[in-house]
Amino acid sequence: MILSLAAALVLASPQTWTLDASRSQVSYQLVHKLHQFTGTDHRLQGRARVLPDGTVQVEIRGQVKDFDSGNSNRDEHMLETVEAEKFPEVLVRALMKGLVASGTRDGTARVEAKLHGVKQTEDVPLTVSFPTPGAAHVTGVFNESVEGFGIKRPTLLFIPINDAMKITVDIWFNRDGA
Amino acid sequence: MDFDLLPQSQPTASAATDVEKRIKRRRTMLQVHQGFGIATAALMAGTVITGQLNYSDRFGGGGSSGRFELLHDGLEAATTVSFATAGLLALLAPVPFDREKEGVDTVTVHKWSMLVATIGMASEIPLGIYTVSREGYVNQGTMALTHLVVGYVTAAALATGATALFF
Repeated sequence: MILSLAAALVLASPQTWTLDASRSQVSYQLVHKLHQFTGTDHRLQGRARVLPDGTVQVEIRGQVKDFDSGNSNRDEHMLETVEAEKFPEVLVRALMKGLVASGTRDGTARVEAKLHGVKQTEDVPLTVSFPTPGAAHVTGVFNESVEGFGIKRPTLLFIPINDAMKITVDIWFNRDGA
Repeated sequence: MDFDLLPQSQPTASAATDVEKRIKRRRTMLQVHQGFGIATAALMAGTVITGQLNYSDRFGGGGSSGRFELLHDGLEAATTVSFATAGLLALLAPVPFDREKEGVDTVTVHKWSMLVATIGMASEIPLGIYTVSREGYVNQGTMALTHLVVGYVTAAALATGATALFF
């Protein structure tokens, strides 16, 4: 009786996961008529929570200044463009339903990204795999609109970059207490 | 989505206004810098072409008419002024954010290339004046060739510096 009550309590309590910053990265790719470039952030913070009904809540935070495109001047320009002095963070929240914690699964997550103080929400295809019981690997590629975040598109030689910003996600989570 | 899984971050201090002003000034200066950069590239191309034509005319069996000299001098002066203006705008632009990133990147290549181009242009002026002053002397051809070669090296440095920004 006591054991079954304990089991029910365990199943009913949310399970939490923490982002493994040493293996995770998020990058953006922007395209200009003359070239394209990618900026990557390896210094992310994140947590995930699996609710008893199987809904997964995820929150990931990055600092705009941590994105490295291999060109310090361009990175500085990006800080200026996204007004990093006022909006230093990129915050992503995601909801995924019906996730089963085993094998590899393709699914769609409702993602809310906040950049430049502006939120954009959309459905994003993601692949989630569980290589070991205590680890989860999330990958995905999707596009966001630069102007959708209220950002004036930066220019090079007076030509603005394309509006589409390709986001690539490669994130690892470790289950707390695993 | 109304859930918070991470601790709330501290709101930023309102030193933002000062940074904003510096950003605005930097953006304006670097936009104008790009304009002068494009102008410099076009003027440099003209300077090199007329310099080669002038050299061929004077020392390559072209009849030594001197018909490209004035145009070359004018373009050279305009290139120098445009280049210096572009350089000053970049050097004097305020830096609103602390620079944390070290190491070599494409901007490093841009800056070093422009330094080589600056040295090239600075040496071309006295070299050109000296070459003209050697009219009638045996070494004028050698000096003119040196001026020509330094001109090509300067143009190559300029092209390298500009191209580096596209990577």
